[in-house]
Amino acid sequence: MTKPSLAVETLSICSGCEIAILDLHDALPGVLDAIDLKYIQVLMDFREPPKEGVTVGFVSGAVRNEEQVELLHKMRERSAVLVAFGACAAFGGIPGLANLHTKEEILKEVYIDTKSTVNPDGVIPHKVVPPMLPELHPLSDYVKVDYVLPGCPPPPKLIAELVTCLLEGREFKLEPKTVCDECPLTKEEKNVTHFYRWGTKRIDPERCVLEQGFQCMGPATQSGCEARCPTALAPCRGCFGPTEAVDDQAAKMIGAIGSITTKDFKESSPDQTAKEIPDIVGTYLRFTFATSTFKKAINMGTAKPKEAART
Amino acid sequence: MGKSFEPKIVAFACRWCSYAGADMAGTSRMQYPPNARIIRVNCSGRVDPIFVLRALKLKADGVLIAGCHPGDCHYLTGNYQTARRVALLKEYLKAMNLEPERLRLAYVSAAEGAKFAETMKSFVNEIKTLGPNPLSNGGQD
Amino acid sequence: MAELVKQPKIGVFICHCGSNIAGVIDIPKLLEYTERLPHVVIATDYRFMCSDPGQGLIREKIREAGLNRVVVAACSPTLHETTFRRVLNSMGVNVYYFDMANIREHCSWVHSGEEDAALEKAKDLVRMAVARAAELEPLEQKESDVKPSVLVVGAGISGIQAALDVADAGYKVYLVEKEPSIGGHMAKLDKTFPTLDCSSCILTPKMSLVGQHPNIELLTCSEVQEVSGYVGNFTVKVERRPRYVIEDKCTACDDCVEVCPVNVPDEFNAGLSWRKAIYIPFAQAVPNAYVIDTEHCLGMTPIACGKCKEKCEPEAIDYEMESEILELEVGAIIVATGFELFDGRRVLEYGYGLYPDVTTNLEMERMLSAAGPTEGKIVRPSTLEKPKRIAYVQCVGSRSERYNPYCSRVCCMAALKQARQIREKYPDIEVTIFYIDLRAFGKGYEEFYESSARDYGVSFVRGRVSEIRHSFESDKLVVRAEDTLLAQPIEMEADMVVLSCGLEVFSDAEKLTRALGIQRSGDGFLLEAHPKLRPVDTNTDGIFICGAAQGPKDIPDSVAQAKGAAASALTMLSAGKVILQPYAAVVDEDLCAGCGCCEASCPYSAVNVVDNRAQVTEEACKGCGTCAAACPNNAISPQHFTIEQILAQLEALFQEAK
Repeated sequence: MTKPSLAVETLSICSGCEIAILDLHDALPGVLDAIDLKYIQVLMDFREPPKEGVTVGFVSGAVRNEEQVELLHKMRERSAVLVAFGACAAFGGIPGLANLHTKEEILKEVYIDTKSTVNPDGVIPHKVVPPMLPELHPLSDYVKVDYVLPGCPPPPKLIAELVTCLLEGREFKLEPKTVCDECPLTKEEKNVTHFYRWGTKRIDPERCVLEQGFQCMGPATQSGCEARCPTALAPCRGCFGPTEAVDDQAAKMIGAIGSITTKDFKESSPDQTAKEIPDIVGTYLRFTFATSTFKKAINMGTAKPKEAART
Repeated sequence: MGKSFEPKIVAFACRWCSYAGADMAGTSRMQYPPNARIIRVNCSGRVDPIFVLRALKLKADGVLIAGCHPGDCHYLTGNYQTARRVALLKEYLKAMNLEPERLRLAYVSAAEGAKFAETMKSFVNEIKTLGPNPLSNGGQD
Repeated sequence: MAELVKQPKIGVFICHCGSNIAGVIDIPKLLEYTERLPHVVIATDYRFMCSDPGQGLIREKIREAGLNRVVVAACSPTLHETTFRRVLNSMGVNVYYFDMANIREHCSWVHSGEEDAALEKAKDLVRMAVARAAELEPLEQKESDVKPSVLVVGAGISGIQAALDVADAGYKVYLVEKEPSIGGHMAKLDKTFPTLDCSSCILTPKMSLVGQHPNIELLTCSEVQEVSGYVGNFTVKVERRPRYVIEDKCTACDDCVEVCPVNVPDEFNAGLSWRKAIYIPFAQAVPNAYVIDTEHCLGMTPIACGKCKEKCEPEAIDYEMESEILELEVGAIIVATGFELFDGRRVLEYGYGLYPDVTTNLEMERMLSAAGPTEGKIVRPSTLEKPKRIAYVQCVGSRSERYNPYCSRVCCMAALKQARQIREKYPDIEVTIFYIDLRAFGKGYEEFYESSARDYGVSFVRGRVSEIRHSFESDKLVVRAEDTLLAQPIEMEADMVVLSCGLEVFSDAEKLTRALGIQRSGDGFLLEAHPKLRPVDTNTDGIFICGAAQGPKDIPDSVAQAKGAAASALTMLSAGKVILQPYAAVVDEDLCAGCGCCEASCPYSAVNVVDNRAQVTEEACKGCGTCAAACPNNAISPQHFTIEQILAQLEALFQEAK
């Protein structure tokens, strides 16, 4: 009997997710024994997924150009099971925030307006490089995704668990609870007077960081990471996205913030609170803007993804 | 389009103050533009931000949240919580290139039928000035 | 199997309301549209759906078509939701399988000139109601026991009356008063208008009844700190400050007072006389025991003073007494915390506090009292001589943009009464009342005014006083005003001026209303649930209000309201059970992560995180749903207003009509 095979495709991403596979450390040899790792660009010199016979296809990164659309479809066709691997693949991730701007704005910023750019003729590359899509998409905008393994990057423990489940033919599912469920910090009372940028105020190492006025996304974020950021006294940034019960992390955080801010209400306090949270989208939809209610800023043009989602 | 633009507006009204205020406007036969549809909630605090976003996504031209006056909330603090949510939602809308004026919070007591009618008039006028929800003329898929 | 039962079979009943709806909205078209909506198995109309035949029609259709949900498109649910729910109940359909589309108040009545738009709106409203109806879930109404006891806060005439009525009906009453004695403002009054009864003669018997009533537990020097629980089951924390005098041992012999070396202005006499640091508030005080005023006492140790303890033979003085927190369990709460007199010093141009001869209505009341500081004699405070002319200034702090816009309701009659008393006792003293309007609205009040003017020669000037100054030449006060009837400015010299200071809400109102979870109206007084039909109820079930705490009031009105509040509380207590609407929030344990946002959002402390999961105290939850908007994981939802139900309405609104 042949070993089940694994292929990892990398789309628009920083490759941190692939590194997370290496972070399996001691568990890695066991995994490699059990599976046939056919394709992973960070380790192997292949430029395309294997032609056939992929048991499990991991796709990391979001879809930003036409080549990536093609690669994604190839992975889908050739894999029995397709996994959206990491926050970008699942929700668009941080690159999804680019959907606040049009493609034209982005190219102009990158190739012309940045201070360090020397481009006297104002040339925007358009040959050789694959054409860029009008906006960034998560995998599910194009193909059916069988499993989502969120995280930026996904924790090695969950990677191992997912692979084990797939090998043993078990269902892999994250319980739809939020990070607070796993968080070891003490929750006392949520009555926040002011919000602070992380690093501008001393943190009580025992107490819920949200209660201390830091924008922790834990309450609106899928658990599974063992609250790795709050445990290290850094507010959760929401890289696991919302649970299945929620479709817009920002809506839910806004709902929560409205209720946990100080009970001494003045007419001016809503604006004060809004002022203390200067970047709603960057804070509450840092990883999930491309799958949130609007998915992108409005009036960016009317283009649709070139190919409709295949199921 | 031919016909002049008639905005479609969703209004969330709390049972104790604003819904009753709208009833009062009716009982007093005050006339106001027929653009809004009221969804009754127990408290303006019940208005989940997702309701607002979903309404706008569904191409509502405006969303009105009407609750009790500050200090008069039947549920004590529900309207305060809503006021904060509205302030944050407006920031969200701005980031989406949607005019924050499409979302309005109004305080209307059970006795203020006239204020309810006035609010409707001024909100409909404001939305008419803004024009249709940009999503409804092909702004997005 | 059970799924089949749950399959929505909706009947829509469209009411013409005579021509109220049908005169604007094209009913046949609306009906035709409604019939095609999903889940609608029958749609029908009738002239008056709320009438007996209309209700009969609904019953008939439920039976015929096996409806399991009903939508009535008619008037506001505030009006007839209960009516139609009863119809469902009589047919064995759960009453929460019901929704209304408000096509009258929110449609036909307000868009009467726009028939097409009104029809479109009515279609939308019906479609939304149908979509919501399909998502409704059956709920069970719950009952809860009522604790057979009542807390009355404040022991002025209102609190006393309410306490006595409840106690006489056989229920336990805790009467909490922050002062050392009960009696409130009424105990300070000499006579009461319009009958001129002696105030203490009618109040004292009631006070003594309170002191002796087996069902009343009197807690003086006490204040409410915290209230939790819900209608029928409140837990109240009361702080009882020490008196330093053991009530049971004290014989009221006055020995301690004789040796006390400290003199303090006596607040019972409006500061016109002195008392000691150990004192009885007034002769008829209940409880009739001394109290030590620690703010002015030299120090309760033998080193500092300790003279009173030394002198006290029955050993009733205990310097070691401490504050205690009492926890009371009650079924209902009556708030009768009364008023506070407007501080005349705030109106700088009247010189109160600057000129000794400018006094207040309360000071005059004490002077008129035979038991007061002057034993009933009227004297100029600066000279202690009899004044020749007294001027009354009405509406001090009332009916004013600068202070309080409302009318304090009692000052006109109080001034008339005092003026008449003065003229009766001293016909040679002239009394002039400066007024804006004289309001003599109560039973017998107008007659009282007429005879005060006619038979007792009280004179009146219509005009608000602009300034009071002191003339060095005459050593008199000069009252300056515009006589608006003559349309000319006048100045009048007077030996004494009495400011008719208005009524303001009791001090610490905010602290108490927050503890109780009740609201105040714009004027600061306590807010009733409905200004006409529920004048003693608050929006918090089980908490009632009465007396001047609800708004300026005279004694008859206060007593009437107190009796109303007591009757309302007794209705609940004697029923023994309260019905709770099943709108309470429910927690989805699979989703809840215990973050506590709901706990922070709940105005009633009905949600608490226990063992990392939110728990709802069903009886305390009022179903406002704020927690649902606060929950970052949609793990909590009020029943009957779930996210699915509201989103269904929203989605239906934007579905293009087929």
